[in-house]
Amino acid sequence: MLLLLALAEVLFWGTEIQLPGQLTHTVRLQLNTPADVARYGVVTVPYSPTRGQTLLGLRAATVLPNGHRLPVPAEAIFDTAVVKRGDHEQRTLSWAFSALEPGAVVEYEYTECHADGLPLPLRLPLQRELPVRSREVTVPAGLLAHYRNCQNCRTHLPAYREEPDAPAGGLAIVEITLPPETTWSALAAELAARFEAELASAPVAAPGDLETLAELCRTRIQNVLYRTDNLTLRGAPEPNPTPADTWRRGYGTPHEINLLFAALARAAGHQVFYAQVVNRPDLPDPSQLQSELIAVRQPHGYAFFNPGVPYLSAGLLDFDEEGRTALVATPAGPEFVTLPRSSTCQNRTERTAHLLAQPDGSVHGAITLTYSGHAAALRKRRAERQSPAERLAALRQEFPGALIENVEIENLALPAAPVRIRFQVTVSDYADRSPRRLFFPGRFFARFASTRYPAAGRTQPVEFPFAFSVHDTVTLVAPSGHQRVFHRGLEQERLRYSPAEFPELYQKWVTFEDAGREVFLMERLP
Amino acid sequence: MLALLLLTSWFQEVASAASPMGADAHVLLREESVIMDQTGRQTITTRGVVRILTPAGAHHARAGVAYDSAAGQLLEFRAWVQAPGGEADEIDPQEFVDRPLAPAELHSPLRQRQIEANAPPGSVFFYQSTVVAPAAFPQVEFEFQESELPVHLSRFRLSAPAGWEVQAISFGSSPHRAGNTWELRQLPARPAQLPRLALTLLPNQPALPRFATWSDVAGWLATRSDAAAQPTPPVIAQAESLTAGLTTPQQRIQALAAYVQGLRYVAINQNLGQGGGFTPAPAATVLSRGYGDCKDKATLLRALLRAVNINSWLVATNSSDRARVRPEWPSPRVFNHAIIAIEAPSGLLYFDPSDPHHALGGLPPALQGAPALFLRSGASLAMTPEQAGAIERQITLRLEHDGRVSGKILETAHGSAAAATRALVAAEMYDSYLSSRLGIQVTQLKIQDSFPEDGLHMYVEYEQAAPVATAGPLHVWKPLLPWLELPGPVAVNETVTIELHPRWIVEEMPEPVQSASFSGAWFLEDGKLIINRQLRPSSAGVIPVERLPIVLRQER
Repeated sequence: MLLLLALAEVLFWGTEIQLPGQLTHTVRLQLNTPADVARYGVVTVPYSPTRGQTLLGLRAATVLPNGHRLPVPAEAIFDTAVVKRGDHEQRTLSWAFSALEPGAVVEYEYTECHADGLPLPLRLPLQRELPVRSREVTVPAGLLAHYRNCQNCRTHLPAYREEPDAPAGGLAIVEITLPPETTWSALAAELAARFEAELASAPVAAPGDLETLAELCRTRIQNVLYRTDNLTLRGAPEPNPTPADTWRRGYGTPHEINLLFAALARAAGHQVFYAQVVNRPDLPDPSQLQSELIAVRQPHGYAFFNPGVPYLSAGLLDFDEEGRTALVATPAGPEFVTLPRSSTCQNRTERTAHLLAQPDGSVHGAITLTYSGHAAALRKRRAERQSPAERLAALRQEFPGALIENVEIENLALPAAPVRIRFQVTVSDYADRSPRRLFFPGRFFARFASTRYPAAGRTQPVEFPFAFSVHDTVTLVAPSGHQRVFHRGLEQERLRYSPAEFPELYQKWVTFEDAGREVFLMERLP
Repeated sequence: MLALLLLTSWFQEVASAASPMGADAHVLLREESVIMDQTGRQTITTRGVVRILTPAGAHHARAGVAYDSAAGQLLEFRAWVQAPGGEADEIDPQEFVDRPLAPAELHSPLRQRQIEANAPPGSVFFYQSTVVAPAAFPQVEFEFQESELPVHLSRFRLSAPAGWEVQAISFGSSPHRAGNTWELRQLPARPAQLPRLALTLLPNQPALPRFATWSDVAGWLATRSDAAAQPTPPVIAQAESLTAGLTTPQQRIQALAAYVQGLRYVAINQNLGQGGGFTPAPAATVLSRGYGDCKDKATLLRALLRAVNINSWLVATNSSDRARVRPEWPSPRVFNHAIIAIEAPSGLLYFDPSDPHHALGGLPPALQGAPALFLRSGASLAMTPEQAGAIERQITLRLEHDGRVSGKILETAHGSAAAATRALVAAEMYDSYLSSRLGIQVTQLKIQDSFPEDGLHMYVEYEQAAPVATAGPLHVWKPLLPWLELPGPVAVNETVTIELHPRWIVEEMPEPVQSASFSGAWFLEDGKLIINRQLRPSSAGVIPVERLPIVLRQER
């Protein structure tokens, strides 16, 4: 028997929106194989009573290939509290379809009720992990539907699978909104007015250029949102009414720190404006506004700052903000500006290994890892949530099979400084051994990297969250009793986690330095 | 304050105990008290005190209690943290999280409530819970030590109705017993075997079962399951339909087993307090639903077999921890899985209808050579058979002049080896699994599966871009692919034939490698490299000869 696995297919997927707060979902699913039956024979629908959600009118049935219809009886539908914590409760309705066999269709329908009205803007997916033959979204008068990421959004939508490091916004969705009740001009005016009101306070000033001021805000002011001992803001200190209070008290929320930076920059004579990342510039609505920035007028445009985000070195925005559109709320009206991206040089990883080869094929030596820019910020944020033991365990996971000792980690708490990690490493069985020779691969760090994106089955392109570069230097000393008879730089090779099937994208985002990548051949001395 | 002190006198009993060096946290008290009434119903009070010693030990400031939300009740669950030098603060009940105990099951009344406290080094976390639990039979277990932490005092107390005999067996350590209280002190971290106490109560009334022997257990379980295996008219009709035209018992068994194996595994647990966890749904119900859990599916197969006059028995096993089944403690509690044993002309056939990938007559590795109990009166504990899988593999490779490698693999797998491949194929992960684990690019994959008969044939074509490393005048190549993780004992016979482009000259080959269970040898024959490696079924590790290189030189 030759195995041919045909995908199941969603024949129909309907969502009918009824005001003030109901969504009726209808799904018909064709199952073609035993694997489909095993995978899609049980359905679980989550809902949150805490958020005023209820599920009503659930009907489900199996339609056998001969057309016979077997409804799922009410007693076979289970309502389960999957998480209860205090007043918060998350529940599911779940059931198994009866008498399923390949060729059967399963269908179900239920109404999702929102006691507080529809949570607008409402984003409804048009794709799922199976291809969808027909997708119907019924929108009542008074609401607008904005279709995104699809050419034909109603029929024959391909399957969509979540994959690591896929570009954001790949999933076809429809966004349901109220008709715009405002304009970007009005919103910008409102933002600018609020910003000016918040800045109008006791003056605060400090010497230095803009980068120095941003650094000062990060280092001098404790960021209460990111406090390591209080991530949930439980028992958060009193809010700061003015930037001067933030300056005086030495702590602040990200917004208060940004305001302080704006006040300092203005005091230094700069033209300063409030800005926010905009999700969709074509949809003037407050819900489209995302993270905030401070824009400082430059001779040819703006420089943007966000010192409310900790651990960013000079010139960097949060990597989620890079390349996005920002609305700058100037008194003259809104300006839409594309935010700059950081470069591979700014987000640099340097890995240095000084290793002594052993006659038994193992190596021992010192490793130094240095991370800057976003590469450093990611490590610093992760470290906030880790105990020293967890940091050590995480480091050991990066070097599977190696013995790691005497670990020193520097600069985790310093906002702009590179993170430096030093340790001693021993790797057994590192060399390839023939009866007469030892071959020590120079690609020391590549040994510990696994393939990050298996080529088979990948459906979406790879997009790294920010541009970065990796520079490796490996020095290997021959063991006693051996002579190094040869070493030479290998031909340039891709990083192990480079997706071979997307070389263009990879090269666009990553630079690569070939120094030190050698195979060392050593022979026993006579 | 007085109430708290009274409540936590057990806390005061251990609060000043010294902690050992080097531990991240120290369990000062682990205590359980069970009061059993005449019906077997248990009121269980659990207490724990944990001192946090290092930041890494902070996550040990947690506790959880399981309860039956339908037939039982969680009466109380409270927890406190005493900061270093401070007073005990009770944790807000709003911080407790309640979840299903077995989220993978479609429905189960079993739930668990948990608390994870914020307890800095030097602080002490302590808790108390009380649960009322119905019990279908009067047996109790207690683990003196749960985690990798050292324990200062671990104690179990039992209060049984007057006149009931209490039989106690301990595993891993011998606790001090005073009446119906058992105690262990100063338990080191990470013992080789977790100390455990197993109690059987022999009631003086006939309403509750008495488990003095395995035969008692088998009889009790059989009583709960036999009725469900009666073939009703729809079951008989289905059996006749599935076996129409089949002439031999083996063919009929094969057909019925394949049918039930094809039904979905869906677990719905109800009436656990009345032994529902050991009671299958009636065969006719499972047939009409088209799904069931392990005991449901095995029982439906029993009914179908009975409809065509073939004998079979349910067999209780433990699929995740066979060491829990101890001959000296007869109990249904130690089993978590049901399979079937079928009386076939060739002998007894064991079969797990819940495993979709093993053919009839083959058991998953976790169930091979494992203790098992036939559910029939008079049965004693038996062992399931061991059945090594087998792989016969031929690989042909060609090393091109530029170092590229193209290869072909022809493989036949049997038993658990075939089932492991089948599972990956069913999950549509097989080619990506091969690519990522072997470091190759699969260009063609064909599988011919004899399922539900045993045997799976696979043909793979693959390429490797640049497997040959250059070291001056020499070139290093490791032509063998690493062996994939083997599913239990498997015999492997692999022959690799390598054709070298005439530019390549073999400078050096590995020496033969041999151990009790493994052998590998390299030959140069008529310009071809031939490598053979064999593994006999064994639990011994595989020697990674795929890491041994062949040294080549290129002709100018």
